[in-house]
Amino acid sequence: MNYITNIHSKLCYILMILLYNIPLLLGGLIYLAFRPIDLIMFDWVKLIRLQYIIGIYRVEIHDFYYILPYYVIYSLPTGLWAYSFVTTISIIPIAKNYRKYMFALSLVIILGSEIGQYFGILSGFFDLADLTTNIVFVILAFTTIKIKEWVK
Amino acid sequence: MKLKSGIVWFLAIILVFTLLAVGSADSETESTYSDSTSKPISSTAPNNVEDKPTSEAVKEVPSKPDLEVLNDSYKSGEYSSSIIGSVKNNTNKTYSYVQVEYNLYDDSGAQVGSTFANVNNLEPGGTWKFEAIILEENAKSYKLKDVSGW
Repeated sequence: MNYITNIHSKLCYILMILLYNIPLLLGGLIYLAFRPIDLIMFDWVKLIRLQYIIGIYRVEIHDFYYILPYYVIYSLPTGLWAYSFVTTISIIPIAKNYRKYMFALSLVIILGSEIGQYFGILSGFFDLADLTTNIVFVILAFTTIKIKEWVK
Repeated sequence: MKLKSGIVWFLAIILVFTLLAVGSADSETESTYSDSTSKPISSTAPNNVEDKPTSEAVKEVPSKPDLEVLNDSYKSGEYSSSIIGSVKNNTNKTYSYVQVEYNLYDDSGAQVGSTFANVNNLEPGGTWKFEAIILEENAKSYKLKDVSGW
């Protein structure tokens, strides 16, 4: 019985990792579909020899570039990544008192990357929409974590 | 022990997301083409991107870029406008993916958006006729940003 419970909890854990990383995948797909191909990401695509598939994918999905709002293409991916980041951090097996430090550090990384761009410390352009999206998705991530704890 | 494995997990997750952040930054690789002058969209006459050689031209002929924008022009439609033109593959290899990107500017010269068109399997010596749709109503001029592929 214990064995079955153990497998069940492990399966739940794997399922949770997968669910929390769907937004990560979605953000990546938006980037691969619509962003300029001079991004470093596309050098990796070539490195792992996926350029042919990505080329077909970009051509097939190109019409959505004219349909999707600007926000979806340029701001949403980082928000989705922020969501995945915080929720994935929450399933690290670690004591609760250390977890709060991890969350604090996560917030510094997520929000600091945008603020760093504003002050010119990091490369890229500061965008208020990006910062707002990141904050909203971090709040959503914490809400998901809280809901999960209540369900438990 | 639990703390140690937790830190390892945390660092691993940070590594993955750092890679994503690095991946979404611009690469240092040079563009196949870049033009510093923008073209007004009011003109419907084709704009030749390449300067035509004159009788006083320098004897040394510059080598053609691998992907060459032969011409581009503004096309106004009933429901939307677009930039039309053609790209030639001057190499002996087939490009599995080629794209042409344009930046769009308003009256003051501020960038108001961008557009691009793409195609698969551009054969050696082949020409691709592209159409990049312009959605920005306040776009008054355009500039070729890049033509690239793999």
